[in-house]
Amino acid sequence: MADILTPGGSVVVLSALFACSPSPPCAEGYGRLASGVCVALDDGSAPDVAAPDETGASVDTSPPTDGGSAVDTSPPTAFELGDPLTTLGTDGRYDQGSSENPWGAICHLTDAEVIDAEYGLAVCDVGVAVIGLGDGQYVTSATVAYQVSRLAYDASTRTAWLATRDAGLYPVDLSDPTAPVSGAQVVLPDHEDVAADAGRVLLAARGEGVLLLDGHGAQVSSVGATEALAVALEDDTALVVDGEELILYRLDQAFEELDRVDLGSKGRDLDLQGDRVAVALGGAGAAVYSIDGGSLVYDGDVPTPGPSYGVALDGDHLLASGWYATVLAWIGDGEPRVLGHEDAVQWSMGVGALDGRVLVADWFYSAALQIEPGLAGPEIVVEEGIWVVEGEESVAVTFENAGIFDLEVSVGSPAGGSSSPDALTVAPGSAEAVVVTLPDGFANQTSLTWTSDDPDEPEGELRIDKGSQTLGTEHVDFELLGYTPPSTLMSSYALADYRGQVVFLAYFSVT
Amino acid sequence: MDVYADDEDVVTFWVAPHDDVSIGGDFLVAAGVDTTCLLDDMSNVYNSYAPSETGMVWAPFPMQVVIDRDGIITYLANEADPAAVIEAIEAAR
Repeated sequence: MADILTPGGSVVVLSALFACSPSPPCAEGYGRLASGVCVALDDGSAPDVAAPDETGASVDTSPPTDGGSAVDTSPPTAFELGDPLTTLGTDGRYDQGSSENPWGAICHLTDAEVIDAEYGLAVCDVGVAVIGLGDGQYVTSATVAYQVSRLAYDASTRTAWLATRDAGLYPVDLSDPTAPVSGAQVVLPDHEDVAADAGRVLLAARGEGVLLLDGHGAQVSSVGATEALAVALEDDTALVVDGEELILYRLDQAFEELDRVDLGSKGRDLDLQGDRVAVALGGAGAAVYSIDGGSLVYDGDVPTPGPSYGVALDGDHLLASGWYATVLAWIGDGEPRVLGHEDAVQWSMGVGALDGRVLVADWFYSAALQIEPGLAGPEIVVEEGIWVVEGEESVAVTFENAGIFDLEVSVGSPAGGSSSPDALTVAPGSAEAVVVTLPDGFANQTSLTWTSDDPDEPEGELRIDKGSQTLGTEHVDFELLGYTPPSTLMSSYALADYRGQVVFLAYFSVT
Repeated sequence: MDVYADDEDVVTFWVAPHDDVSIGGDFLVAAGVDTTCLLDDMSNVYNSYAPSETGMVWAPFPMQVVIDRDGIITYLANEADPAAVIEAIEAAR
């Protein structure tokens, strides 16, 4: 995985069609109960509050949740159809061009924490922003150093620890979240992650191992590691991702290894609550483990639509950043079950959660979300754009259901073409393909529309473009201007000039 | 990139489909990079890669391409895997 988190890209553009509201309309064929829950109707008549619905889901006649107070996250007896994760507000001032940017410079939000019922924190390149959880809006900020990438919050000391990768740690006093006070830099080895609890700090220092620090940043002890990438700490339990291994320690003053397991991929973030562990695995999504008698027990995977760099546990819920969306999963009864996704505004990179309130570090945006307990949906996962090569007359489009209810999809046809089937039912955890026949003489771009009963994605558009090159084909010639840092003088570079040499192209994006 | 800095048989480029020199250049300088960066400012080259036979799409970033001496694409990936890139470059010599 690249050290540089550069998701950028115009290929995937989040359409306004995916926008959602805190109270989406019930899908066709469903009616809303007095409690606010959507339930299936048998003949299109008003829903019967007393009777179970046709889907077999139990009817919830409890009073609606009070959105202004702490959310009830007690275990549901069953899930009902509805939108389980809703957006309360977003704030996109962190782009360099925004007049409201608190730093006047590009700031990529990459990690987040929720510190209490009112406020959350999100870090970016130059510091930390305090964000209101009711509306996702910026409140205030503290500036520390370049390339702050990770964050840990110690509730017992009300201190945030900002990790910079190569410029040490910075403590920030949040006794008053509206007036954060930055502390002095703590010089430490290069590192990838930080965790904090009860006045202690744990640092994932790559090949330097894992360091245990006191509340002032002084080293207490350490343990070796090949590539310490992520850490979590709660009481005397510590977890470390070392490359592709997850290691469980009992941690008093010294590290006592209890167990280790193979993750199958490099871990990028960790969260620990009680006996539950969540690991962000980059392109492999997220995974959940339990701690049982000093051993790590694998509970299951949580697929994410894009690479996962952040996870947060909130009671029996797991939040996982998934690049294109933030994923909500239920882990209350062992194996994780995806309840739904909430589309990112830009790129869901990091996430924090507490008592049903969620804060997403969404690249140039902060997003405040809320868990709607007891609700779940079908969750449609489909590409926004696909490429076909010259000569292809048809292409298969896959519709996946990442939720726990059946997904009903109607598929339109591109102009002059066709789609078969044009209606499908996708079972939870499954995927079905639609064959799209392209119109005669298809030149470069077309599209089709679809509708679904996903509570917050009732419709969408899929773009089909023609691409001209892939593995095994000759790379099209190009001539582009370029510069060689630190100089910014431009010269012209043509691929044809390098015939006879091996050429390596590394595409990247900062914005 | 540094591995092949003095290799006459291999040429390496960063390619920026979205960022102009003021943004990309600052970023590369801050990262200590001195490899040439090409500006694909219309994203024409970036958008020209079709999916593989297995349907894999090369997006969004990072996207990495190795082209052999005859101009044939021999490596195309959407994740940063230095070992795989080096293997592909060596195989393409």
